[in-house]
Amino acid sequence: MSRTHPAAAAVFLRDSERAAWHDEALWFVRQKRDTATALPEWEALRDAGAALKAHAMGRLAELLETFETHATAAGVVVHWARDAAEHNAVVLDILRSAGATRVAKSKSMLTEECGLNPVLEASGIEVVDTDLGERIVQLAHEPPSHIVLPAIHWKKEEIGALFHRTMGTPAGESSPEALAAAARDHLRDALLHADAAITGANALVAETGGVVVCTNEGNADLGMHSAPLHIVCVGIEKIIATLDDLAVLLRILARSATGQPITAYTTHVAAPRPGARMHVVLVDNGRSARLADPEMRSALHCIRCGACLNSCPIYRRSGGHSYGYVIPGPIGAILAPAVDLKAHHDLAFASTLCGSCGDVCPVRIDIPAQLLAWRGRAAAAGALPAGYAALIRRFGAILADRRRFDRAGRWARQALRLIPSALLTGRWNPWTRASRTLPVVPRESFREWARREGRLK
Amino acid sequence: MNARDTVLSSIRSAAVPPSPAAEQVSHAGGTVDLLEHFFRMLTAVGGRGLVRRANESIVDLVTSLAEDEQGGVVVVPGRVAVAENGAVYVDASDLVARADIVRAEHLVLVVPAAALVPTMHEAVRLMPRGSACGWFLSGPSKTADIEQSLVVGAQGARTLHVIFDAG
Amino acid sequence: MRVALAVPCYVDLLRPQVARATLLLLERLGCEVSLEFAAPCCGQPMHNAGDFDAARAAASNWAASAQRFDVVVMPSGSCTHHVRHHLPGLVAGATATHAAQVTFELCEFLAGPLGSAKLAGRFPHRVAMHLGCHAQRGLRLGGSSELHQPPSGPMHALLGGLEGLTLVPLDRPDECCGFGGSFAIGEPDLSVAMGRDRLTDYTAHRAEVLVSSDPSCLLHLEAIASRSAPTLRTMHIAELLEEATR
Repeated sequence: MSRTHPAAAAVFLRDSERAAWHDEALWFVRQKRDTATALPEWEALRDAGAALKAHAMGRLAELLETFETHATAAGVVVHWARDAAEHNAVVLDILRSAGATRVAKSKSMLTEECGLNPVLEASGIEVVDTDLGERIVQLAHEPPSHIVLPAIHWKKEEIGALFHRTMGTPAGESSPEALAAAARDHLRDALLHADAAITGANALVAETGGVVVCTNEGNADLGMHSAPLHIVCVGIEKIIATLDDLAVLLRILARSATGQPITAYTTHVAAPRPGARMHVVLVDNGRSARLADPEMRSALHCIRCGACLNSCPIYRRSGGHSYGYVIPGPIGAILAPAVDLKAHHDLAFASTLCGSCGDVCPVRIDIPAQLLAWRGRAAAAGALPAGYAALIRRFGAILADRRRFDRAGRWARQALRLIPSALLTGRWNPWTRASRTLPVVPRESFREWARREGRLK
Repeated sequence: MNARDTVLSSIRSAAVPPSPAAEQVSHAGGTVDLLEHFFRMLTAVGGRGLVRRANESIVDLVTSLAEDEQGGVVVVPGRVAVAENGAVYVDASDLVARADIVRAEHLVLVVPAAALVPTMHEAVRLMPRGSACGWFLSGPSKTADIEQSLVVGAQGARTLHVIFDAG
Repeated sequence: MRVALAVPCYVDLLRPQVARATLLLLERLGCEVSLEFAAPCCGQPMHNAGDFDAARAAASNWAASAQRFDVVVMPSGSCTHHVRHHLPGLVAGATATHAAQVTFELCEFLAGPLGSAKLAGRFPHRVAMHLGCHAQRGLRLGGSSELHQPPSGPMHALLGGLEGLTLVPLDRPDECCGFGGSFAIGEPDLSVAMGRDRLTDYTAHRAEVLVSSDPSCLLHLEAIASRSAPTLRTMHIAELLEEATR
């Protein structure tokens, strides 16, 4: 995905009807969030969410060790991985040692981030993503476009055609009930006969050594409680200190994500069931580096609810694939540049800094502030196009000085009036290329008028 | 250094300043009719709830529910019900097999009538200490992954009943 | 009351009517308005583009100009937001802090320091209101839907007080118009799509007039409206209030 965000957005918007449909679909989810979060204590919950996350980050090493102690005592094997490659190697090793060749995986953005599936498949291990949305994009060989609603960009007719090709559903069948029923049967088989279940974790609770997994389908549970082996893949930032913190998290997560008061299934599992094995892989992959960056640290508080995506007018109109990073939307735009500033600096500019994302974030991450900070870092690192950077510097010089500004303004107004508009509205001009008209240029500036009226010395 | 030591040392050298724990969130939950609120939320998430009357037996209630439904009915004890979201906490120690929670087509949760709390803040404190596994279950399994259309009955139960037992 | 009028750079260049209307309005309300605020720009365009160094010179100059005034009024939510929230971070020292403390957006000034939350006036038209994101979520001058707040604030109150004015309901009362400064140039397709959607919202609710407290939002929406909504009259809040109170 080497296209920049503006180019990808342009392509997405070319099908204006589809773009409008996508925008309405996500806006609908945002509105459900608004209704579900209309609790008198909602802002206090956001305060608590922000506090419990900052608290956990302040004690991260200690909490992870506490978690490890409890989990190990309960029979869970805890692994650590410095980066994505190590995570993949650890998981592969666990599976190989168990002779596992069929894996049922429930939703985990962490495994997407690490690119786990291709690694397992290359080793002859079959991986079935059992979250319905994830299965749709898996069958279509594409990444998810949303962190909670992976196939939000798919229309039901398209899903029907996909299922007809891959599952043998009747041609032309597009009713959600029929398609979901077909998927249930198709996925149930994978879930019941898997050698191993891989899940993510919405939280790790240090106090109990528990892993918390939230789903609506129950697929994570069917997998983990049926398979002889359960592997949890989780980022180190997911740890929280206590069950009281878990209560706050469970009150804010689903409300922000889908507008439900809580997901249908919230599993708290701290030990393998008798006769089965459970492993937890704790993954760093850049998180501790981010922790060391005070300006950007709070992005680690993210609980992966997706509310910022749903609330973002840009995300809604450009789609998750336009971001070119495993996690799209506003949160993705502040995570990706840390991975590769040169490749992803465009994401910091894929925003009007309208502030909607920050206002819906249940843990009060100041996303707009981090977007702006990334712009500063991109400019300072010379990542911006040279011509554009030089233009901005020139503007800076002109706009800093009254005389220079007045002179330049006079010149610009003259030019805009004298130069034929045909020359000004060429493809080179981003203002008019997107079918905007040029502003009507006033005869004189405000200050020229004021001077003429004797209002200015 | 192994991965564990590297990660922990990397975290420690980030020198994140300590930050106070979250303050308790106060809520109006205690002043509403909890049972009414619970039933309303349970219905909203696709579940059904009832209270066992003095002259009814759980067995009779479950049998009559089972008659309406095709497929297996599994009856499971719930430890606590949560009014704000229609959820019931079930601990694995009260089940024969953990997988029963999702294998059953129809799930019936029986909760002591007194074990109804306003919010998750109260509910988590009633989770058994040292629990190996447990769930907050809120309504039957569902998905909205196909054009945001809600379809009830994904990989878990198609129906979920909660019976409050005053006995 | 003595106030300085700080004219945003692009208002001086492209929409001087906004500054004229602000001046007339403030004088009509009894203010002594100084036009001697020398600095042309608060630095926002360069800051928004990520070049904080390039922004610093303009910002520093701006802060210096604000030194001698107790109240500075700007007919722009985005500029006021930049001065209040970013100037002290860009420019060290007391001048920047002072500038941040004494600068007000126009509606905020009218409702607050001037104590004229409602003006006697008449504007018998169907009006769509676009507060602008920096005024709304930046300066908190209007309740936002994300925070479950009813739509109310200084601009709502000022419009609500005018005789005959109907504030039209909108499907998305506080969605961004898509200007965003460098965004308008860097992401032109999205910028226009967002603007078009706002205009569709206004025209679907039969608005005759679009009013905004941010001239940059206005310039952006006007550039699209000329084709998408040619009969929609676009005004800055200063222009509307000035006309309504004549």
